[in-house]
This record gives sequence, structure tokens and C-alpha cells, in this order.
Amino acid sequence: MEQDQQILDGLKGGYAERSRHEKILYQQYYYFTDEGCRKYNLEFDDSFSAYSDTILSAIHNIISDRFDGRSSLKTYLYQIFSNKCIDLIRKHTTNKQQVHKTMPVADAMNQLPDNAKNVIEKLVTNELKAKVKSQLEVIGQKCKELLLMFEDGLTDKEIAEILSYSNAAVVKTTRLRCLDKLRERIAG
Amino acid sequence: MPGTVEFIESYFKQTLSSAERAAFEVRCTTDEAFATEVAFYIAARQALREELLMQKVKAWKTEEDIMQAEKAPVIPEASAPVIPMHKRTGIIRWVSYAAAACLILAVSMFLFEARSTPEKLAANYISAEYGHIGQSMGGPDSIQTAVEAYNAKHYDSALVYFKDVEMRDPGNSDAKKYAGLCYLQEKDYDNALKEFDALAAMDLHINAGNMLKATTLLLRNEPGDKEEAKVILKKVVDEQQVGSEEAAEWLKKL
Repeated sequence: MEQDQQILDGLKGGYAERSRHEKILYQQYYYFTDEGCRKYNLEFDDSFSAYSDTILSAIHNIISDRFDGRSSLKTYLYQIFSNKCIDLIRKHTTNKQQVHKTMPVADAMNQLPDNAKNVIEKLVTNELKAKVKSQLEVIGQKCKELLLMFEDGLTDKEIAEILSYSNAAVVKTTRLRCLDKLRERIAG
Repeated sequence: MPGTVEFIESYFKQTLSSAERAAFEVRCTTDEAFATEVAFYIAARQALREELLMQKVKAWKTEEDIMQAEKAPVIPEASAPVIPMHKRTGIIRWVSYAAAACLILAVSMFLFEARSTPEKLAANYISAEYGHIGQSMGGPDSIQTAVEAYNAKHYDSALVYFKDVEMRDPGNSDAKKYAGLCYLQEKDYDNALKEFDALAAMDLHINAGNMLKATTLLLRNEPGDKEEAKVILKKVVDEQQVGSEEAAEWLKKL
């Protein structure tokens, strides 16, 4: 569809263009949140959390060319949204005493084979996550901004252009140093 | 450990060679210090993603709120007029009964007629053989999750999981077969045929690809589909492939 194509092109455009189309995409399918409450019996907060996470995942898949365009954008988003709703339901039924209402299992964890995943999952405790979060606030604004931009799917080259670094290699070195700094603070 | 973060990042960016990936995965289970580094990396990514999502939603929400406020109020369902049953006249009531009876008769005739059509044969086969997937399939957690979603008839969700497994492991014939079945259940026959074509081309000891392909063609029922299905069914019978008994029966009826 023409509207789908406009959004896809916009998301793959420059950073400002991408930000504008992220909003358009978010608003376009916001009604999914009602669907999450109605079809999956989720609380609004959970449905909203699943929806916003869906949008971010979809954006990242689109900009990294992992969306092949074989289905419409709506179908694609709804597939992701349904999965996230199901994951939330499963999480609620297996862990009724949850403390942190976050989306289950990060994408990175899913890349590991089952035996490695089992080991790592035990080490990624809520305590570790809380420590990382608190240290993110004190490693410096530049570091945080750099790490967030990378997490947002921007390449080192794109970050270099936006933040006026001399080249991608400098961004990569700085970024990895920031991660090392974060790790050292947590270990210390 | 200098360079460790870069190595870990390369793994998750999928830029390592298969030997390096295998070594990475082994180290996760045998080298405690390395596993701790990986755990930190994942925790950092999760924390960053949550922070990112929070910032994004804040930016997206502003306009969304305005849009919501501009939306026309939804008329509650309860305000729709309700016509009490006792106000219906006798004639209207009898006309309703007659219409319902005609409808039931028409549906019964249609079902009776459809019982022996090729589509019906194919639909019955899929329902009997693949309405429910056995939980004995091995493989990663994602396959099991996909099977659960399929059996719960959440075919769109199951498809995402099966496609994910297929993408990571293109040689996984189960993922191909069940991705095709998800498409089939969703009546996306063209994509189902693509999956079954690929499955049929795989060198497997037991291969249901051709039978599923013929079944899909019968269900799609476009011009030429029935003829193509017959050719494939004959092959299934001749080569004693999966579904050969059913294929022989169908060939008599087609």
C-alpha cells in the first residue's frame, strides 16, 4: 500500500525524517492497545507496554532490512504485537509476583542456543539490571547518548555524523570504552 | 578482559564466523568469567532498550494525546435502541421463522454438496493430520513455543516463531513444514505453496512436501490447480511418499 511505503521510506530516511515517521507509525496503529485489552484480557498498561515495544521492534527490523514486505505493515505489526501479548500472559501466569513490569526476554538473549541461554539467564538477575540502570545515569551524558543511539539501531557511521565525531572508528572505540566503564563500575 | 565486549558485540551483531560463534557458545557454558561478561552485556542492552523505549514513548505520546483528544466520542453500545420482542407483530415473527428455516436448509444443502469436493477432502486431511502438532518435536525453545501457539490456533504468532527458526536454521524441515501449515491455516495459499515447494525439494528420508503441496492446490482451487494436484498426487503414490494412501483414494475421486 502507498501509505505503508511512505512510512517505510520515512523510517529509512535521515534521523529527523525517521523520528517523524516513528510518530506516524505509533499513532497509526495505536488502536491495537484496545485489542490487547479486549482479545488478550490484558490490563491497559500491559497492552500499552506490548504496543510500544512492538513499534520499537518493528522500527528496528525495518531499518535493518529484516522486514521483507511480504505482508502489509499492519499484519506484520499485529503479528509482533500478538506475540508480545502472549509472552506477557505467559509471564504473568508463571511469575505472578513480578516486581518489574518489563517486556520479557530481550532479543539478544534469544540469539543464544538453549544451553548457553539457560546459563546466561540465571546470571541476568534483576539486581544486575538495577545496577546497570543506576550506573547508566552516572557514566556521563555523552556515553549514555552514544549507547542509546547505538541501541536505537544507528550505525557508528550515522552516529559519527549526527554527533560530529571525526569518523565511525572513533565512535566505536568510544562506545566500547563506555561499555567497559559501565562494566567496571558494576564490578567495582 | 580487553576486547571481550567487542567480541560479545560481534556475536550479537552476527558478524562472527560459524567457528567463532560455536566457540562463543561453548565458552558461555564452560567459562564462568566469560558468561558473567555476556550477562553484563545483555543486562546493559536490556537497560538501554528500556530507557530508549521510555524516551521514545515520551516523544511519540505528545502528538498521540492530541490526536486522542480530537477523536469523536464513541457512542456507548448500551445507547443503541432495543426493540422489545413482544412488540413484533405475528407476521414479522413468522417471516423470521421462515427465513431461518430457509437458511438452515440452504446451509445443509451446501454442506452436503461440499462433502465430497476436492476442497473438502483436502480440508479434512489437514484437519485430521495437522490440526494439532505433536509436542514431541525436538529443537530449540522457540520451536516449542511455536508449536504451542499453533495448537492454540494462534497461527499468525506461530508463523513468526517458525519463520524465525527457519531464518536461523534454513535446513530445519519442520520449521518449513509448519510455517507452510500456518500460511495454509490462514488461507495464504501462495505463501504456503512456497514453503511446501522448498520442503519437497529437500533431501529427506520422510518428506510430506508433495502431499502438502497437492493439498494446498486443491484448497486454493484456482484454474489449473486441480490438474497440477493430480500430477503431484500420482507422484506421491508412485514414490510411496507421505500421504500415499490418501493420495490414491483422492485420485479415484478427482
